[in-house]
Amino acid sequence: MNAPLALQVNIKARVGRLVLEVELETGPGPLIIIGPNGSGKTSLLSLILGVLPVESGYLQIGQNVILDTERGIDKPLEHRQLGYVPQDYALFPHLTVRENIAFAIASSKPQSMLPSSAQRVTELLSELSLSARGGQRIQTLSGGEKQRVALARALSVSPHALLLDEPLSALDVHSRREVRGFLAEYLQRLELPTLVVTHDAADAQQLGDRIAVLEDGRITQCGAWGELVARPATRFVEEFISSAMPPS
Amino acid sequence: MSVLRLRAERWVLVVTGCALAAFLILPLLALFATTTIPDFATGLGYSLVWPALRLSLLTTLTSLGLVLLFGTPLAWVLARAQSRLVRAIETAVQLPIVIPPAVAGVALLLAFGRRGMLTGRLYPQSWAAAFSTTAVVMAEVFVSAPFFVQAATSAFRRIDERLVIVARSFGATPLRVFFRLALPLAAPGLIAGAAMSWARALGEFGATLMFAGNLEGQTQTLPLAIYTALEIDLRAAQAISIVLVIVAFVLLLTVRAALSRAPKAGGPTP
Repeated sequence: MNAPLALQVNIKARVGRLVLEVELETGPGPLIIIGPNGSGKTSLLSLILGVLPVESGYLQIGQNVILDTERGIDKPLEHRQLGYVPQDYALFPHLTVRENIAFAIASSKPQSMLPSSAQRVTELLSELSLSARGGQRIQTLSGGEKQRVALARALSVSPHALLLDEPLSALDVHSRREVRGFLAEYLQRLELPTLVVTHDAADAQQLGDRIAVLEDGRITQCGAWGELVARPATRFVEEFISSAMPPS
Repeated sequence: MSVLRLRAERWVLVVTGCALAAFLILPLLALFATTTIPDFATGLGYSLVWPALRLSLLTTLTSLGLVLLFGTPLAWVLARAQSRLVRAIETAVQLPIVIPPAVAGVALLLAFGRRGMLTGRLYPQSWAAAFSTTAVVMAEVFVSAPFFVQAATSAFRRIDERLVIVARSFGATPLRVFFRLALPLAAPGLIAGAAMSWARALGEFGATLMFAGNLEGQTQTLPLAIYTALEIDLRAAQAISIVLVIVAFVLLLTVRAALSRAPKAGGPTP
């Protein structure tokens, strides 16, 4: 995949009573966003998707500007080329695994390119170890399998950036550990600008190299896990890190 | 509190509830209990029965088609839009459910009758629909469409918004989202709404009588035929009534079966 190298976010918006003012940039890999409940993590993803209105801002993926309020650029969600995996995966319950992915490909490409879509679906199913599940309904899958289907579906349209909202929160403790390892390795291999929202310290530690802390609508600290441990900027960061440490 | 008293109180509620249930069921049972198969056959043999049955089928299926064709997109728009104007339109669209059918008939006459508000402005007077088969369809659409739109709007609102956002993020166009996502997910609610709407159209009487008249073979539907048959032979009225009750019962079963599937089809997939 010829992926763009960065996602630049510079957004100001009011969501309910919360004023979000966020400026951050991802490299070609995952940037983890942590923050207390109500700090605006999921709203930030909605603003990047364009489903919530911004007051002012700028969004760029690689060379592609998808939002620039000064220049009047505001591409609709359909043209932003973002891969999005929401908290509960939002798989289409009336379609099989294969049909879920084929739906995405058919939505993104003109009809003339459809013959290649079956091959692409097969490739993705194989890549994410889902080949045996292609014909199954979503309801019959395990939590980990659903997560991989949602990822395969999001990647099937060759997005320029990936947004994952609490990707492991719907899993039980056992499968969470298993899927976390797979997801961390897979996201590193993708080399795609990726934002991962999580409230879990173990997820934050393992899923990416850099962590941005969002508190009350603002980024209060950004750095590697080690930097957060060495110099926590706020009380929330201190508590968040201590939740990942084994009890002494 | 004694066990006896607990039982007694439970029975008070049961008996009170059963009184209403009996009142609702007994007249329907009387329809079947007070006829014989020969009387039923004689009743169905009257000349006004079959033209009315044919006309009712023709007009109600046509009105159902129109309601589905125009009502489904309307319900989708109502379910997704947030503005006050749309909320006001939603209330206005549901108004025919609560207004008396006779008022609906007068309203249709004043809008589309020979001297109606729109006649002569939007179309020539010779096109006025009143007292024709077209008028029957219009009256049926007017009274039955709100039932479908209301059920369809609720069904569309039950669709998890994130499914739509995800589909849009792939580049799915509004029509693709509507046809490939919204319609299949809301299907049980749409089927239930269509059945309710059809049942209402089949039973329509007051608006049809006022706006379309009671002309045999042209505007005389089954309910109007019952009204006419009462003056000729009760057996004919009873036979038509039995046919309508059976059809309504089948439609009700359809609604219940469709609605029992609704939550599974519309919900998210955690």
